[in-house]
Amino acid sequence: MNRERIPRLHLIGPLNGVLTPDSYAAVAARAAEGGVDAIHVRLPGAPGGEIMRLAEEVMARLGSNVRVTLFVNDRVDVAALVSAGGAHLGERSLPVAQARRLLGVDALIGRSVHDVRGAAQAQDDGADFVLAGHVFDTDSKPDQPGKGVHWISELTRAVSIPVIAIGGISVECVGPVIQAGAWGVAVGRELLTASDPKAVAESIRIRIEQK
Amino acid sequence: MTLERRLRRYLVTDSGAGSVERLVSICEEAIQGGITAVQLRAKDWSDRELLRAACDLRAACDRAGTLFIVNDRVDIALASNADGVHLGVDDLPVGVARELLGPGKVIGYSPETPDDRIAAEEAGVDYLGVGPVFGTQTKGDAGEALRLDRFAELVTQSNVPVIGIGGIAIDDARSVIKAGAVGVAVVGAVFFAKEPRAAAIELVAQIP
Repeated sequence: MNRERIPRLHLIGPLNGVLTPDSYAAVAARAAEGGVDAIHVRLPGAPGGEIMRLAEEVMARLGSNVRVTLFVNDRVDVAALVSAGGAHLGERSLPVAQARRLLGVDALIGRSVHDVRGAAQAQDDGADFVLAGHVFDTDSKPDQPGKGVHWISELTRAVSIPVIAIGGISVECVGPVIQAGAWGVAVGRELLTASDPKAVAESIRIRIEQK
Repeated sequence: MTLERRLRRYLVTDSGAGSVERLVSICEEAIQGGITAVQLRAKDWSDRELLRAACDLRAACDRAGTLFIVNDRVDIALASNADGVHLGVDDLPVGVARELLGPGKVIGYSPETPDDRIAAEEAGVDYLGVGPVFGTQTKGDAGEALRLDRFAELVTQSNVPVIGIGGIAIDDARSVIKAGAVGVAVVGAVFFAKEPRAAAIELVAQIP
């Protein structure tokens, strides 16, 4: 897999309690103008119809912007139906191989991992990239401290597929994470709560590409 | 066996089983007793657990020629090679599910209004689950009971086979069939029975 095909700035949302699904599509579209090239639709436990509607709305807002890949989380059927470019899976989701069978060889399939072993397994299973975290302390997981930048270096030595760092990522810490070997970062709150998501996305993008 | 015949004694599972192994073993017992269709429904279970249950149920249903349906999840139905899916009004629409599943699979649907039903029929649904026929405890959002006379009216209006669902005890099964249903969906009466196999055998006695 050509590394260049893997998006480097992932937006994760809408995040329960941060944005409603309705406002997420608009924020995502703004963030995409600023350089977000992966938009995740993550609505854990929501009915299939609701997930499909949000995915369709994000697709509609992206319009002809082909630089951006939509990742439906967990629901591989929805990913297939809306012709999303990808699916993103957790440790308790469908296995990568099953998702691949339903989505075809061209789809990008990501996998969340929390340790080196999980990352190696995801690579063996055929994942195109891993979302690894959480790297920094985050409000999403208040009881678990961040694993740190050093952990990202460890992961990137252990696997050859791109590692996308997630968890408490702010604009300032993007540089160190990329220097540690991450291919990119995944961001939730930092973009979802920004008054200007496009500007924040731009500053993150610059730091990703600077190296 | 025709679809109508396979829909006759239809078991819906519940996450209250507690584990994949327990859920599958309850279904195996019920199949031995005479259940003709199993729908895997286990709200709040992880996708991994659902897939594991689906693959085990697929095998158990194959051995007995039982219809195997997955609730809501088209991806898990495809991954486990289920016979089809059962969809509700909040789930993926029937038409798009058909696109993914192809013409050979069975799609069931639980309409909440006449418009829902008509749209599903036009989209190519194979059967309808109509209810709750009686009051139910296993599905919190099921709404008010229809009772048999209203249920019979809804069956008459439908253009595809109907199974009755919702609070149906073994002793009620015959009356639901008399009201026009091709089959009866049971949850608690068999799934949570002390002896699921014996409960299924009783159901066969009621509706052979």
